[in-house]
Amino acid sequence: MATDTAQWKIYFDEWGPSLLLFARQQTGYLVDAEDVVQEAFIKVWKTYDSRKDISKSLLYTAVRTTAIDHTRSMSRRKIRENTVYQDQNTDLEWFQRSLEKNERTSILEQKVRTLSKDQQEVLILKIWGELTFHEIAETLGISQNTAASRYRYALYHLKKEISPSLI
Amino acid sequence: MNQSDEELENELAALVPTQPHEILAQRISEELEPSKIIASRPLIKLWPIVALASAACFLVTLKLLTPDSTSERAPKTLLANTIAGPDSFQAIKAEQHLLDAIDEGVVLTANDELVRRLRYEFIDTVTMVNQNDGSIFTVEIPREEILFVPVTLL
Repeated sequence: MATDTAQWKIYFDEWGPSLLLFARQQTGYLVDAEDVVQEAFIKVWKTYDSRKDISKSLLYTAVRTTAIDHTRSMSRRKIRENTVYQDQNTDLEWFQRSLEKNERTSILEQKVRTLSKDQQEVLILKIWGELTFHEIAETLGISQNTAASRYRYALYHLKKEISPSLI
Repeated sequence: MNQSDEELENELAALVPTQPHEILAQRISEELEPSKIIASRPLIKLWPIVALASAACFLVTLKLLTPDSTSERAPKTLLANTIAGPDSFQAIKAEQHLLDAIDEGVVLTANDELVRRLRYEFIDTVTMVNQNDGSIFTVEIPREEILFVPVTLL
């Protein structure tokens, strides 16, 4: 188990950032996203003994279903408490900033965030999750054609929104 | 795919998602201690038992609330036993209202099985009448059912 314990860290270091990004896109809040990643990662890792390998699409699937559960429980809590849930993390960035590309990164991130939720999740899984359309289709429970179509639309909208001179 | 698409994809891929906070890795590390793994693994296996137990409780409650003409215990309903006084109650209607049915897609169980998860939310209502004064009241019991349907990905 000591080896496996070290092994999970390798997986987490490699995929943690993109899993967290996907979870943030799913939940909308960094704090919730961290909870979701923790729960999903642990859930999947417990199957490591039998699998001896963990696929990326499995992790993203777990993140998505956990996020759905989390969002549902949050919705119930909101209704019960009759309070307005404020997103205190909207100013937090999805991507790391560098001095030379800070402005450009901000523009791209802003445009990615304006995409529809369907397009966002496909884009994130394809670009930063490095999943194939087949894997994306499995993860989201949609057809490969739908996944590819959403991806193309996402790129189309981004190109339309971003000044051609900046591409 | 034209050149612009590729350039945009490359530029997007160059964006690096923010790193998870170190505390998150610590939390996962604590959860992955061997003793905790063993302890938490059977949770999902217990679901059918929990579901059956819940269903049984509900049926027992209904049975207690419904008078049985063949039994001497008929007037002693559950509420009659718990509410002080000579009142006796008779269940006159029991209904199930489906509030929501959600297909949550394919999920992975702790047993490495891919299943489709269907979630149903009900409100079970039991309407009773106080046989002494004729007053009627309704008890509402929220209930949630989750069905796991095995699936095979082609």
